[in-house]
Amino acid sequence: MASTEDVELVRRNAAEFKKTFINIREEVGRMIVGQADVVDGVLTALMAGGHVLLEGVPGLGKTMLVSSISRAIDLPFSRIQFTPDMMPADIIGTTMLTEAEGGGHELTFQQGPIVSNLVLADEINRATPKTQSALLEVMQEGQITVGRRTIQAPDPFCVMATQNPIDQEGTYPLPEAQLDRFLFKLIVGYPSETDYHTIIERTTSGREVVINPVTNGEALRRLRGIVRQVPVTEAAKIYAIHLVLATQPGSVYAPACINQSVALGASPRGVQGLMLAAKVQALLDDRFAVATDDVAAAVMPVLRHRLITSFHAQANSISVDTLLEEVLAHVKLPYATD
Amino acid sequence: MIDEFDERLRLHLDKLETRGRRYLFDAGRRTALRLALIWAAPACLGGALLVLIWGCFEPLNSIAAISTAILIPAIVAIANYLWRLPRRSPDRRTTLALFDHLFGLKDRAVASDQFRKSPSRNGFEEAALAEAHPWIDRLLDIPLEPPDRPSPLWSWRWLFPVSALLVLCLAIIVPHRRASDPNSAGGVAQAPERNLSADVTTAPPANSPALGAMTPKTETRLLDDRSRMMAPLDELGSIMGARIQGALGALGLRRDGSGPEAEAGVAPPRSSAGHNAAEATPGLKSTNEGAQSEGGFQATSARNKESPEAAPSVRSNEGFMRSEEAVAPSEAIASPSHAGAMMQDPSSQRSAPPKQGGSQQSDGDKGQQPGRRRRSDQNSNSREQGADGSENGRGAGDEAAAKKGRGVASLLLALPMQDRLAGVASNGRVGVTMREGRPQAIPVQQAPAGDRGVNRGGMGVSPYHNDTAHEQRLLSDYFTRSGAPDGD
Repeated sequence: MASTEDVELVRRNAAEFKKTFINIREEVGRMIVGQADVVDGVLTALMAGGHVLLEGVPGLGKTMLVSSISRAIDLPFSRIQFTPDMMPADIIGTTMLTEAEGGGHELTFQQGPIVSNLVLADEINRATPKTQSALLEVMQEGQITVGRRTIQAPDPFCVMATQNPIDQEGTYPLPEAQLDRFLFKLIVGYPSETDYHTIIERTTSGREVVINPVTNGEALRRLRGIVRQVPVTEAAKIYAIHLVLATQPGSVYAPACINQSVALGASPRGVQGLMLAAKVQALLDDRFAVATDDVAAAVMPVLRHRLITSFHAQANSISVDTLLEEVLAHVKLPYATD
Repeated sequence: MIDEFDERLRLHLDKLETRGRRYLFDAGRRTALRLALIWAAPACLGGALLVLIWGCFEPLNSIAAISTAILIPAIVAIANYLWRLPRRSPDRRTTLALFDHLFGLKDRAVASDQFRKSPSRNGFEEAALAEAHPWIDRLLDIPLEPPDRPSPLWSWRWLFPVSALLVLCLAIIVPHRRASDPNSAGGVAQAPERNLSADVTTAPPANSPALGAMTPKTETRLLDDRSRMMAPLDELGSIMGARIQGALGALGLRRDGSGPEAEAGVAPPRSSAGHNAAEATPGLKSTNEGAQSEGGFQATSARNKESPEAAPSVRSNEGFMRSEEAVAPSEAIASPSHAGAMMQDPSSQRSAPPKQGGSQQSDGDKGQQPGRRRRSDQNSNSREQGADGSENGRGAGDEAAAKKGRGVASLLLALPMQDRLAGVASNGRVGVTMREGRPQAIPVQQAPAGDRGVNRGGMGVSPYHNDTAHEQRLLSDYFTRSGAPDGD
């Protein structure tokens, strides 16, 4: 049995979590106009300990959003501009021949820009799949292996990648294995009309916007730990499992559209992502347990990049979001009665 | 303190469970009732159709028919209700989840029940219980609204019982009407137009011995059904045929069947093969009912022959018909009685005396004679089409005339006709659209002389090949040897 002090501690932690989240959101909001859902999504993934993939056409402020968050958190930040001629060694580092202090030459390992707390992989799909695969190990294991050397990635570690829609020229689709390592895929849309007014005022008036750090890496690590303590009800667990199973063609929970239009469903990482995102959502909603509503709210960003559509869906322009809406409508809540 | 809290929470959850269970059972019962009524609605129609089918084979008792039509949906509804009635009481989580869903508690009730049972609760679970408790307390004071009332006949489903009622009325009324029909009561297979064309003076009596001893009941009904189905088209076809004949007559193009048969004053029923065969051999006893029927009509014809009044009546009617057609051909088919009078048998007409011109007319026969006249015209036409003017040909002509009339009606009604050869519905008229076009020159491209014929449809290209050394030597030897021809 937990004591009253434990309950009070939990309440304080939950309150701190929410306060930090809101502070970062407000600080980022000084630079980024609108895009509230995208900002919340990025922060949720950051608090849940996942990586984020932002997709949108050029000029929507994806890079600025990530750099703003890194400044608000006050963490080391590195940016990698992915290009078609980039090699994996340009990301993870390579061994170079350098001059030794006592004269002569020696081979030293030069770390790549991936070794940082916050990594902005800008336009990640402009690099070839070979180069993109350089991120696989560090995104999953939090370490980099070069030759016989293994380097631990700093904690907290988060990759925030941006990509242009893959139908644009000069882009390469991300491998499924790498897509699966992103916790969220967020779609960055165009700002609203009122947002445009604010953008003009902020960016063309010569006024400098300064973002102050509101937390640090240590606090972020602790908040991530709080998130993982949030208990999950049986109903939420069952619901998340049914949702993920429903995205897999041939499953008993899959609706007809999934069997017809999906070639590859969500993996177990999908369930993990749903749970983590739902825990963050519960804390933000001043609750101490995950509910089915939290799971449902996380379905779109967590699962949309984990479904590989079939030729039928592509030929009929059926989007993944449409399929996920069908899944949400099809899967019944646990213990629900007709 | 925590134990007290737990106990209080358990009691509250128990109360919620009891309420939820009652609500769910009630909702399940109502759902079962609603679904039972939904299934009963089409069952109404099914019962009525069953009664209708039943009535096709046996005379219906009205009480039995109505009872059947009511009992079938009732049985379906009761069976459905009993089958769908919830048999198991919902479990605790389901009943608590009901409150979560109804009041948007975000799983607080279910989570409380789960965490309360946890043997070692952590801080988050305790906090979750404490956070959920006020919500659960509040739930105890909120009354649960009863489930929605069942509405089985919403939207289009009311059509089922209405249709069932109509079908039931049809099933009960139609056999009664058939039974009250004197012709069908006598067991005669007669088409409805037979009634329309029933001539007081010429139609055979319903209780005629020849008719009374006719076909078995079932065959009569089947033939009757067939006649009923074909009646509207046949009737309309006859009307249209008469209209065309009338128009031709008005234009002076009409083929006049002026033989003695054309002037017959008897109006027998529609012909059939057996009818014609029996007609061809009056003394022959035919096995089918058409022949028997014909026998009856022949007897009637004979009576007409013997009767001195019949022939003048026919003659006078004929005179009226001609004058009427000459004045207003279209009016001849204005009434059903006219239309019915058009369907008459040539055999009975044959027994009438020869045609006599004149303008005498009988008012009593005014409504029938023009039709009779046209029928005889049609028959005479069909006789002309016959191979040798035999009775068989006459029968075929009669049938062909009816079909022709039916075809005209079909055309006017835009009904698809059946293709007599292929047996399928005709695609209708085939239209050809002509367009004017100018000849256009084919673009000519410059090509080397050696390419002539390529892609021009003429000769192909002969492949050029270098002479071999052997061929060159033969050529040079030919021109350099002595005695070679000089240059020509």
